[in-house]
Amino acid sequence: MAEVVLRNICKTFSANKAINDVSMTIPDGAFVVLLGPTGAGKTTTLRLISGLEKLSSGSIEIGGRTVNNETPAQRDVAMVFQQYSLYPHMSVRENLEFPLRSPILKTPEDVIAQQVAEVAEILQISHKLDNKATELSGGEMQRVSIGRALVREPSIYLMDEPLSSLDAKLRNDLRVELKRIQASLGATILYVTHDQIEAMTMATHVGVLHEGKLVQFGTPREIYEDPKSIYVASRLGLPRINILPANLFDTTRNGEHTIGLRPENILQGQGKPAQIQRVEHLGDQTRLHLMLEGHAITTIAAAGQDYPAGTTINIEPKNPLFFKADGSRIY
Amino acid sequence: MAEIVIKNLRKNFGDFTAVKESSFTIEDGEFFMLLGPSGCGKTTTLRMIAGLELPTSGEIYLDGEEISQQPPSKRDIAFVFQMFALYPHMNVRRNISYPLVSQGMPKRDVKTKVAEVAGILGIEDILDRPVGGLSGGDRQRVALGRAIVRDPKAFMMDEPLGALDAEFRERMAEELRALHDRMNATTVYVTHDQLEAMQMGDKIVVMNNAVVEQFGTPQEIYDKPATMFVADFIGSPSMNFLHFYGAAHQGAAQISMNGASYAVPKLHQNAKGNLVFGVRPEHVKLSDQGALRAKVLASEYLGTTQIITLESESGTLKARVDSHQSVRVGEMIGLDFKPETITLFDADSGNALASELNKGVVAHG
Repeated sequence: MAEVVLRNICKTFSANKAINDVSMTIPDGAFVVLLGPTGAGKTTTLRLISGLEKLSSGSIEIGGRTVNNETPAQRDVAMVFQQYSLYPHMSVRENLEFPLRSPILKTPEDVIAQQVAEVAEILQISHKLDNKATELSGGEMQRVSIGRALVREPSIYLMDEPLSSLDAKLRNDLRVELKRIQASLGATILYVTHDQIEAMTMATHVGVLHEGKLVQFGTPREIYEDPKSIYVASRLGLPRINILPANLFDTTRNGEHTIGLRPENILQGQGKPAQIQRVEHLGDQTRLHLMLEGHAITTIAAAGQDYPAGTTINIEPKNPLFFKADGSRIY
Repeated sequence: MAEIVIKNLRKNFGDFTAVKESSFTIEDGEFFMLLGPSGCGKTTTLRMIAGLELPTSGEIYLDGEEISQQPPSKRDIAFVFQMFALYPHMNVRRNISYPLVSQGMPKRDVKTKVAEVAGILGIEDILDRPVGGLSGGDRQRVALGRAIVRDPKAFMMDEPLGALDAEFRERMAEELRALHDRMNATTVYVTHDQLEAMQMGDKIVVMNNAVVEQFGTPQEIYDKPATMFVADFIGSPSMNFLHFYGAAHQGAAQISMNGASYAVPKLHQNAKGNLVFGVRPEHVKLSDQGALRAKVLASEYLGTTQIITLESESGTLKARVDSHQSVRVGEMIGLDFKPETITLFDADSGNALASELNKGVVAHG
């Protein structure tokens, strides 16, 4: 595995700057998640690293070697796509062997057999090795396509929303599994998603992308607790952070335009009266949707308390984040 | 609007049973979720209500009238698909008015009706735009508009948010629910996402392998699961299952598991053999005095809370604790459980044992 460094990379498609001056270091053995909505530049970044797209400017280093002019094969990266693409006429075993049979690699037969057995074990598909690829369930197929990347030992694994086409339940299981595989192999992974839970639970580092720019890079805890802007603060946290005018609660000192209030940082029983619009029972947590002077606010219900819709409760902020009018964080 | 009653509904496709003897009631004005994994029969059930499939046997009542053999056009039900299909050559206004025009409604009435629907959905300003250039959200709103405009008795929605990006899905889920609260139309909604079901639904039917496993309010299904399948499917992470061999005694409020005694809700039945002790992650407390000793395997940060994975002699389990509580991977700690939340299951049948907790939900065994 290897460290991957992006230096001031840019990618322009006609007039559109898809990637705008992104610099980032993916440490050896790290699980880096790029988070952002559709169109933020996540997939383009992956394609630039893999060599499927050419840089407009900047440079990419893999293991200390500048790879700007190398072909995808020379770069030695393994990619997993959102839609599993297996060879339907081959068995699971043949699908897994395929990357190792590449003429460039010249892998000996015994090594192929051993690698495939190991990966099948890790992904818990050993018993399906002789099935045809088309006889598998969706989750199994996606495990095989992840397995096809894992049989090789590339410099870096590039994964483009590999779990997003799966059922919610299976997605949860595979998330835990993928994190375990990464930790046990010491693999370097760059993983793209718009799902904040995947980012929070799997990443050692999260990079937040916004319109082609890397707006913050740090551990999930840093991104959650110390966001640099409203945009970043809104990426992590369920329910999402409440963004409110700074003067709503008389917390204004100087120059603050907006406050960000995590739903769990709202004290109940004091402060201003807010109307309860809707109560959502999620089992482990009950969410309250409130209305305060025309502003919708979401908070978490206290345990064992009743909240009839239509009644009011008093609320007050605790440790809000303060932002300027342009959305950047003050303190 | 309408009440929908499903009685012993069944659908066979050749030898394959897609839906087996389902019965439940959707009350007037409810937002009703059909939840389950792929292939459980939820979409087939929805399609039978809408009239897109004919049941093999059983009845469907819409406001007291049996409709199971009627064609879709006679049922007065609107269907919103996962892939919302709009007429690409028409603008927004014509897309929304199409169902009314084709019913032969006078022009003036169509205009009033479309304006009203556009107001509800907040899309007045895009009425004259072609649908080609619209954002995903606006396209979805237009598709909804086309369903609402007919004033149907009920709405059927087949994973309408399934194809959207996570953040946008959350927003649309809230918007859909708010729309429902304004219109109070009976809505049946199919999803495989338990969080979506818990968040939006008044009631949930959990289906698995063509069978209705449980039917109730979100909180009831979460707190009082009738089967291990439901306990596992609802909640993230799902309920912990600690397997043990033992006996449960009617009237007792404790259970002996692997040599230690644990308080549980008072049991209403006897059971003996392979049993399962079910506890939700947020009801596992880390405590030095805890009866069950466990080793910390991993922790996952989730903002406010963290999920701790633990290895005990009774099996692996997860605990949801405050993210400020410091836990070291590898350390040994004690675990306590919140007794009033425990569900015991029979491991062979997968059914919950009847207790004080789930009385009224689970039949006596």
